[in-house]
Amino acid sequence: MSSKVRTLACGIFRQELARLPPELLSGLRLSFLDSMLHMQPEKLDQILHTALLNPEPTLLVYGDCCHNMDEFIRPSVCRRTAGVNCCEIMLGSPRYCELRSKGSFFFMPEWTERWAEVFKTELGFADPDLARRFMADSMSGLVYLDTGVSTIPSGTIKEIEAFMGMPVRIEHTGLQQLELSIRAALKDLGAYDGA
Amino acid sequence: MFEYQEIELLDDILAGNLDGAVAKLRKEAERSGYPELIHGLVEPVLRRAGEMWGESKISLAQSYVAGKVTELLLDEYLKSGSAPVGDGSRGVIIMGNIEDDFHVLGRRMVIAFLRLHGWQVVDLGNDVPAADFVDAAVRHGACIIGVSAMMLTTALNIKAVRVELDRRNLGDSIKLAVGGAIFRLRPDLVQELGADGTADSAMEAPQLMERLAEGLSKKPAAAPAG
Repeated sequence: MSSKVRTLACGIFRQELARLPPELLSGLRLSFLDSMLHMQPEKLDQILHTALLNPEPTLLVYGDCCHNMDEFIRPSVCRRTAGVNCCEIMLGSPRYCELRSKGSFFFMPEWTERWAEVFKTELGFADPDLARRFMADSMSGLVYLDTGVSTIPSGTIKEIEAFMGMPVRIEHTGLQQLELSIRAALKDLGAYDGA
Repeated sequence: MFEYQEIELLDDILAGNLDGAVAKLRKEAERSGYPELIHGLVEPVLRRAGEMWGESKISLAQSYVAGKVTELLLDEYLKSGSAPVGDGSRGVIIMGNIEDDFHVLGRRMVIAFLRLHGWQVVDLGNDVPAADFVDAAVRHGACIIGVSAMMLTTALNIKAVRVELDRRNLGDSIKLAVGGAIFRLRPDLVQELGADGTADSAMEAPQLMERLAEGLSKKPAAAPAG
C-alpha cells in the first residue's frame, strides 16, 4: 500500500477497526461519523455527499445506510464494504442471511451500550409494553454480535431482554469478515495489492 | 359526526395509547359503522400521521401505533363479515417483500387496505425470490404483483421480477407495483426497476392498483378453482 487511504467509517465500527492487523490499519486514514446517523439517513447522505466532493480515493466502511449510497461508489475513487448493513459486514453474507431469514434483530456492541438511546429516544419506544409488541410483531429473536474486541456486556444484555421481553443470543463474529470486506474494497479501489 | 374526534385519535397515537385508541374506535364503530369510521376518521388521521412521518415529526414507535391501530381495526371489520373482502370482484394481487428484505410493517398495512377495498391478496411474506412472485401470480390468476423493499440494495432485487415477467411474456397481463421507504427518497427507482407504479402511502395503494388494473391490455388467466 503506497499512501494512507481516506476511510470514512460508521462509529459503530470504531473499536473493531482499531483491532485490525497493523499492516492493514496503517494504510487507513480513519474518520468516524456518529452511528446514530443511521436514524437520520438523509443527514448521513448529505454529510457523505459533502465529504466526497473532494475526489480523493475513499473507502466507506458502511452498509446501505442512506439512499444515495450507490451513487457515491466510483471506480478508483470510492468503494464501500460489501453488505446491506453493519451486521452483514461483521457476519458475512451467508450467515447474516441465515439469521435474518429467521427474523433476528441484531445488536452490535456499540449500539448495545447505547440501546436505551436507540430504542427509547431515537425510535420512541419509551414504553416497554409497546416495544415488546413491536418486536414480537416484526422480529422473532435478538442476537448480540460479539466481535471479540470487548467484554460481553451481560448486565446490559439482561436489561435489553427485560425491556424487549425476548432472550438475547450471543453470536461470535470475530473480525474476519470485516477484515475481508475492507481488503476487498481496498483492492477494488486499487489501493491494496491483495498480498 | 364522531364522538371520538380526529385530534383525540391523533393524540392517542402520538401518546402510544394503542389499546385505548382501538377500544375507542371499536365503540365508535358500533355507533357509526366501520365504513364511515374508517373513511371519515381513521383515514384523515392516518394521512396526517403519514405526513408527519415524512417530515420526521413522529417516531418509529408512533408510526407503528398508527399502523397497528389501523391494522387491528381493519382486521375487526374484515372479521365482522360486512366488509367487501376477497370476493374476487376486483381481482387478485400477489404481495411480498423482495428477496433479502424483511421489513414487514409497511407491507401489512398495504395488504389491510387492499383487502378493505375488495382485493383478494395472496401474501408471500418476506425474502421472496423474483420467480416465486411470478409463479404465484400465474398460479392464482393475479393481475398485479406488489413488491415491497425498504433499502436501496434490496430494492434493486426487484428488477429480477420485471425480467421474469418479460421473460415469460406476462408484461401485458400482470402489472408490477413497488413500494417502501426507498421509493419516496428515490422515485427514479420505479422506472429504473421496470415497475409500473408506486404509491406514497398504504392508503393510496388501492387507487394505484385500480389504475394499474385498468391499464392492463390483457386479462389475467382465471384463477384455478379451489
